[in-house]
Amino acid sequence: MAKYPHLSKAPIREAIIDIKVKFPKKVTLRQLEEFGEIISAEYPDRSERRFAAVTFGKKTEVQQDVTGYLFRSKGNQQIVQARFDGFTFSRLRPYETWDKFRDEGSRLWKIFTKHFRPSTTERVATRFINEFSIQAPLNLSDYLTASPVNLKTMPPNFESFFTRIVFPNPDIPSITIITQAINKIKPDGPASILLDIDVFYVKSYSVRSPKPWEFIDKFREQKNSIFFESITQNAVELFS
Amino acid sequence: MTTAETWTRDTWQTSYTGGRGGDDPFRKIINQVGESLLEAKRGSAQYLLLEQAFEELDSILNEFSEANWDGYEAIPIKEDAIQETKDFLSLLGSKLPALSLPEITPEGDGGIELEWYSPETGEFTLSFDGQNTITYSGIFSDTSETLGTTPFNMVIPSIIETNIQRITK
Repeated sequence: MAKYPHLSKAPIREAIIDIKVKFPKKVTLRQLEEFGEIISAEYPDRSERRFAAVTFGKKTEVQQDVTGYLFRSKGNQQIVQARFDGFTFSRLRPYETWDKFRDEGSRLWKIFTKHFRPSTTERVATRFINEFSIQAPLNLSDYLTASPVNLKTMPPNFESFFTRIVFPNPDIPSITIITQAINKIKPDGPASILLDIDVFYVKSYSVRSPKPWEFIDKFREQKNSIFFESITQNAVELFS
Repeated sequence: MTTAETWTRDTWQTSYTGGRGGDDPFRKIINQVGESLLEAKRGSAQYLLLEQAFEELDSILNEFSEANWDGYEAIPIKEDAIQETKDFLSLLGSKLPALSLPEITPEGDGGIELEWYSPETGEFTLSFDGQNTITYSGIFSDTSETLGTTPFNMVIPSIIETNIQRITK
């Protein structure tokens, strides 16, 4: 495993472990609520996760349903989602360590599988959404190694950009998506840069298989490799 | 010819009934954009919570769009105030540890109020009127108070950030 510098001010806005599952029979809202009751001591606040469908045609119809719940820790720094199709664990700022994040995710996953008894995992992902601010004048190549090309006709104070690259990983059976974006900014103002790295596979495993969590660890290594290749030494110093 | 189109907001899938066929390159590009947005949304709890706050604001804009909506001559909620509040909440998510969800309330002058409250730490409110200014007030558990206005220009003012942290710590 490659060694990377520890970043005391890592720009991680949200770290996510996401596992999509199949249940042997349909899960009910009440069962999702009961899961929340089991973890309520550490995750006392509950919000609905809603799905909205709008159908346009001769008659426009809007349908809204609850598809799961978000359970938030005190201080809102950790959030677990229980849904009709799976489980997600998020850590928001300030991110501490991979081991703490992964161990808590694993602990909650065990509670999830014991309660819901899913038959298989179908999709597993490790995703890190990074966000950091830089001041004007914007010179993205000072921070990003793969920033958009500066066209001669492009004014120096552009307003936004969005890039998305999807590629298979040669070493581990998975897909990586790298998204870079800059939020709407005002001239001469600071700008927020987003660097979102999502590594996942879509494959069915028995829920008893250790493979999903082995992959979650490997995906984290892949994410680290991509992250440090995506930023310059300037950026490393900014986050150290 | 498209006869009906279904947008699934949570999944950003589009399906055409009676569409032009699967080889349409334009539709492939549109679907790819939709897929990008789907991937961006999938799993992110912070995005979901922010989206719910935005939905609540849109709901307020619709529900309180008539003059005198409170029976005390309130003016309709201003779109600029809604947009300003959304901009603020978007910035808040990237600035502070986690998204500290405030209570969202329409105001009689057409603005929006955000309130953070904790029985342990106190209460802090912000008012947005769509004029690039935030009016703030707070009463804290140590009996100190704060009150004032500050410009808002797509940057969270430090006094606002400090006081939200005081309440939500």
